[in-house]
Amino acid sequence: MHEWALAESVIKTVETKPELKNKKIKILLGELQDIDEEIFRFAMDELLKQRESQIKYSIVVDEAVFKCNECGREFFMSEITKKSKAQRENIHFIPEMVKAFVKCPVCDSIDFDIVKGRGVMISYD
Amino acid sequence: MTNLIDPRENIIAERFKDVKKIFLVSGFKGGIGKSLISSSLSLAMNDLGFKTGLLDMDITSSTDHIILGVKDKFPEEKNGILPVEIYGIKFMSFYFFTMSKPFALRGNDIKDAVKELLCVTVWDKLDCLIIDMPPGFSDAALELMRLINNFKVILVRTPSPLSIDIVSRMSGIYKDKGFKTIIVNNMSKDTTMGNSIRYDTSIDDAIGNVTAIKKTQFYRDVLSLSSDMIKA
Ligand SMILES: Nc1ncnc2c1ncn2[C@@H]1O[C@H](COP(=O)(O)OP(=O)(O)OP(=O)(O)O)[C@@H](O)[C@H]1O
Ligand SMILES: [Mg+2]
Ligand SMILES: [Zn+2]
Repeated sequence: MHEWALAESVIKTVETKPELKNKKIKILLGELQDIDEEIFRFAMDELLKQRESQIKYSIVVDEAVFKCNECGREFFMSEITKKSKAQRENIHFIPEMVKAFVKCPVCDSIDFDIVKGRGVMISYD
Repeated sequence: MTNLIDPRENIIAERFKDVKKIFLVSGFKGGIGKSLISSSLSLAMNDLGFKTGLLDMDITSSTDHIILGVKDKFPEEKNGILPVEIYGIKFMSFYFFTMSKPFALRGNDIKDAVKELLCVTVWDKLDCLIIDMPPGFSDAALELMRLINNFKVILVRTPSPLSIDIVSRMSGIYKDKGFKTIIVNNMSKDTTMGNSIRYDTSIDDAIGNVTAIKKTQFYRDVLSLSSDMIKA
């Protein structure tokens, strides 16, 4: 599962960044990438066990927001027409592939930004 | 205050830790043979007995899959994403995810897409990895230079004074950072020059057919470069 690779990157980051030491971290899973939260959590816990690591984390799904560079309208996942399984899977691997399958719901432009909710991020206070 | 960290960057070095040599194929100018050379070089390295990977870094205009005739294959998911095996080469490209749809990316998207692919692709053990670069020197090149730092740069140039000028002007970016550069003279008329690949009118007909590619003068020239290159 490719969730493992992403979980691994989170653990590696927490292990190497001194500013994250002994912090309770929040893992943001971008709505766009559509990570399977259960698999991700399982991967995290397995990897933490293997490394005898005590990292404390919580998981939050981060709503995806897009902004059209032509008409300026912000739009959301709910406004995007349903994608095929293969398309969703490719966005799951490389979220930027949304640009190949989605257009601005207002003006049909292919030129839009992913403002937030793209992929995996670590948040801490 | 809430801080955000992108975790992907921290795993990339680990993804390349068992890759012995990395060659970036650039030349800054478009249409000078970077992709043909990258694909042929991978075949040649594999023929010489080196476990070889090929990574097409041209996100919107990838072509290595066309050159190698890759069809009906998709990377497997296993603790990450495994490159596709073709003619003994481990091959990865954005092509697998675009489903041949046209699309446009701005700078930040390119940076993110590059980072994502480097983070999740599991190369495992390789003697050498060839990275086919898009033309120009922009987000993908800068991002690669920031994220991996143990590559050599193959600078492709043609006899065109335009190509020669750009290579001599731009190669400083890599040299100043301590990267070793190797010039390859493509479409060469002067075969006495080192690292030359001759102009070969049969190469376009061989595209998509690896057996045919291997019969060309182009391929023989690439093969004779590659044994020096792996020693470089
Ligand atoms: N040695 C050669 N002999 C004859 N034709 C060549 C040779 N090298 C390249 N070409 C021609 O140049 C074309 C473009 O090559 P290629 O796609 O590899 O260039 P590129 O530098 O990767 O382009 P881009 O900048 O668009 O990625 C080939 O299809 C072929 O027609
Ligand atoms: Mg090319
Ligand atoms: Zn719009």
